[in-house]
Amino acid sequence: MPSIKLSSSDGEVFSVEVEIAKQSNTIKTMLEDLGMDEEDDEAVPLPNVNAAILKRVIQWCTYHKDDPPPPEDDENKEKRTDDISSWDADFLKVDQGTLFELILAANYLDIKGLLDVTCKTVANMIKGKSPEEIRKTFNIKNDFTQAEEDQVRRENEWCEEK
Amino acid sequence: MDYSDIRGSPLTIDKLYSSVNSEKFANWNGIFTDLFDNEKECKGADSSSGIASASSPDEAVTERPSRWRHQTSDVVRNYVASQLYCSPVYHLPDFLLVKIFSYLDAHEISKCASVSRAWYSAAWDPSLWRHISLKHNDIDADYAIKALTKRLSYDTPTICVSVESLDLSNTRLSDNGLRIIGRRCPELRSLVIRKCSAVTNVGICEIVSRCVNLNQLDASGCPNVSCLCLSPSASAHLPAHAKRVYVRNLDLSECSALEDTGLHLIASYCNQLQYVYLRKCIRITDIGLQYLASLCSNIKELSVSDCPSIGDAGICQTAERLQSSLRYLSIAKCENITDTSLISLAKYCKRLRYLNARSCAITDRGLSVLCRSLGPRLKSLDVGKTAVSDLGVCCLAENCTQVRKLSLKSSKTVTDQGIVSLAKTCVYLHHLNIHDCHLLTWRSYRAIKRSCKRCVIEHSNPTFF
Repeated sequence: MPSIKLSSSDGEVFSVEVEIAKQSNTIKTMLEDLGMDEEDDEAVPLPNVNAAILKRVIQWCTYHKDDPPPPEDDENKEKRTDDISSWDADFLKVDQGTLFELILAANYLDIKGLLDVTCKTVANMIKGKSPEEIRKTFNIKNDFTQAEEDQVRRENEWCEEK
Repeated sequence: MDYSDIRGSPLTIDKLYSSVNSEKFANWNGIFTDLFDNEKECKGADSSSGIASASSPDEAVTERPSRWRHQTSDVVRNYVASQLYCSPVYHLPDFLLVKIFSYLDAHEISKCASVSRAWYSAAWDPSLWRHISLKHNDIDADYAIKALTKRLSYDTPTICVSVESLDLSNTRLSDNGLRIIGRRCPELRSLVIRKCSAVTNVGICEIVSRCVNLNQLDASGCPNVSCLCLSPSASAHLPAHAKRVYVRNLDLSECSALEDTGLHLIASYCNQLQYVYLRKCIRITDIGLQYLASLCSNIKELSVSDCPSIGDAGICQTAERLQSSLRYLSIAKCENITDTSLISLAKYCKRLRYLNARSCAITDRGLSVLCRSLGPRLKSLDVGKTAVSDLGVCCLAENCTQVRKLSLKSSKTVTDQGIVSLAKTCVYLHHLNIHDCHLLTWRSYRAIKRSCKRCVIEHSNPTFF
């Protein structure tokens, strides 16, 4: 199995099978378009991902290496969030900081499957909560002025449960 | 109020500066120290300022006289750092927040809009409002539609061009709500309003008159809907040939008020129909079906299952009119339908791929004629609860070798002999329903399992395991 080296933002180098690394479209493009040689000893620099997150991303890609390519988004299809596999659910039982860093890494590395499942996980954390509960969950400050808040409330009155 | 303020990027360091009077400049250090102290409690932070300002604190600072720079830059950095530390959700750029929201229903996205300024601007991203689903039955749909379309019309004062499909099933939507949709959503392509019992013909006519791009309409289970035509005001100034409704996909299943006259009117306005579903429309008869077939000759899919008054006359006429455009037909539980219909389908509808004739009064004779005519084009067949026996199944096996789905549910006549011959030729079978077929034994089961490797067998015989 040919492998390549990936270097995290904090300088740690990981050796990964090419087929696993190629789930990242970013890395795949680098290898194919930029003519990076698989035999090359030089590590591919990934300046936006630190070692802890890169390790988890590689773990996810290793588990999912035999998955069929994820289908293209179909806008007409209702998006489900209850179809997260139990392995993914366990894998994503992490603190919020890690979860959001995984989203950023999945986006930067362009790994659609990982980006979808992490975004679904956050969507599930939002579902069924009131705005105040959402703020508490994610530690977000309500930064509306009073006038803005009144306006927003008027706009959203329709969705308050009766 | 000024929306650009809300929607644009919220509070940044620049705004912090400009919001403070010039005489207070002397206290800059103090102000930032105060802010810093507040944030130490880490109660949360100003939404996007973490990201927005993180990249440019120095820039913002250098705009000030240089003497401020030394006093404030460290404080600003600490302030920014403390914010970044507070909640990881602030790290997400807007488009990723939008992606997360795309997994939520309309009413949940609206709740997100009340969380903070950054969430507000992400929640109203137009891409989230192309397909709106409001199936939450506690919601007052008329009010929701009014509020939503008003909010989505900010950039285009009276209409919202972003909305392409709406699903308001199971809500208390009324004609008023439909009138608002008709006025404000000219780009609407798909409308699903299943089981909205308050909707009447008036609202439906308003919608099809106003939304000229409407392609799909699903009003199944609306008990007060019985026709579909242009409203008098809309058709008044149109020449006769333009009095058309361009809906192609129409589902009026379980519209118990639909009668032949209504179907006639629908057919005369909607002659572009391709997909028509009229399940459980108990009042329609052969006459209505004849109108439909003679005026809409492009129909590809038709279901009249559970319409007890439909008989051979209607189906024969339909087959003759639609000819090879018909690909899908369901006549399940139309108990007056006999071999005459199948023979007519065999003669005219050479490209039929799907037929559901469960509980029809058909026999081996009709099925044999049909199977010989369709040959490998037939992909799916349901002849459960009919008199079809081994003879019919063997003829199917001989001619329709590409069949993927077959149901013989509750057959009292098919035996192992039929199934074994099926297993020999129909190797692509991937779904077989032999539920309640008491004459079938493990021999059938084994034959299918052996030759059709991926076939799912639905059965009720405990000895098969």
